[in-house]
Amino acid sequence: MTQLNTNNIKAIVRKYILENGSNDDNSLDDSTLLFQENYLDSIGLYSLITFIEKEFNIISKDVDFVEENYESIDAIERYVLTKISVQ
Amino acid sequence: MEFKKEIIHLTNVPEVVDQIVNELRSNVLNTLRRKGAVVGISGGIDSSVSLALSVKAFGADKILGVMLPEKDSSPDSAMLAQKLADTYRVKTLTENITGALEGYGCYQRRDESVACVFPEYNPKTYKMKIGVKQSNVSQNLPPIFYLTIVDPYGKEQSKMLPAAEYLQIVAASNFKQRSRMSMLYYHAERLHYAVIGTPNKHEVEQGFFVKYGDGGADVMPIGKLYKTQVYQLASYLGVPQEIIDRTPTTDTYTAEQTQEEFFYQIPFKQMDILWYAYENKFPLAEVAKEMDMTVDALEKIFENFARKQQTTDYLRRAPIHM
Repeated sequence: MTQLNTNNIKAIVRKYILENGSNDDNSLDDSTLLFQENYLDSIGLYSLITFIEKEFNIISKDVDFVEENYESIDAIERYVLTKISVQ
Repeated sequence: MEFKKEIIHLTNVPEVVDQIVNELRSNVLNTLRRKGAVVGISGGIDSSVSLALSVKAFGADKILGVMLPEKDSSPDSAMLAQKLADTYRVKTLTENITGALEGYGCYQRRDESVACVFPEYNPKTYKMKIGVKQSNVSQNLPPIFYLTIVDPYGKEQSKMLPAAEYLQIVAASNFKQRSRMSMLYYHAERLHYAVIGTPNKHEVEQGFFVKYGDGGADVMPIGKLYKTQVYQLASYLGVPQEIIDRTPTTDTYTAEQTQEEFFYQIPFKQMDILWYAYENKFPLAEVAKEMDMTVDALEKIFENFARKQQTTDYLRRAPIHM
């Protein structure tokens, strides 16, 4: 795993979403609501969860699958940092 | 119009039945130019009402009821389907599709993915199912499916399904509905009949059907009816009470599973009313008050409905001709 900092996490997640999401609009920013703005659908969420677990070496629990952790790039970064600090 | 829970109930069931029957007859005899109907019957409420309507439209002697069990089917399904056919004096056939599914590798492909998630899973002694957690409906996230296995002693374990395993389990299981469709068309073509599809309004609009599986049919007589209304028609048409009283199941996986648990996340009586409100754009505050919910909770459910409609659009699309 590469050394992580805030910009790293956001950049990695943004790149993943732009490459794998269903909306190729480049207006994606850190606070864009990924599901409301159609960047990710159901399968996109699954794939994102799997990607985040592998990329940042974290293990998700059932209670983690909530809007607060996945709704935007900002939210994902907060979630990843919290998981890393706990693990 | 004021929003009330009772808004969903049909007040003119005989007229609605007559209208559907007339349309069904005209569609099959005049538009499709077929002389009768093949109906796949599972002992569930939707296929039962579809068969009863077909009998009214064409007469019992122009209907073939086909039971399509496979090794994971509940024995209740065949018993209830036969009872239905006896009630309407319809000729039936049983086509067991287990061999076809084994040929496709349906069970082996599904079980291979289950074992990736739970290495201890043994398909000979364990049961399995997939479903959505009910709490997900109040989240502004797409549904997350969980795999549940049940060991020989009845102990359950659940885990979130990773993307690849989820997709493979669904794709493998869909062989069941597609094999059934294929067999229904065999009999329909042999008899020069039409295939009657059995999905109701929720299944069609929320995408709870398999493309070219149970979504593959010539005409869908209950496709515009809410589940509450399907039950109203069932009572009026004399569908056996045991079928009316049965909890709707998927009858797809080895472990027992309701449709609510698998997909809808909301009891159908409540879902009918909420979908009606959503579809007819009633004000959130008015609906929330009548349903004894908060506006915020209702808004999330409506967003969930919109997402389901949008993400399942692909299923309802005919091939794109270019």
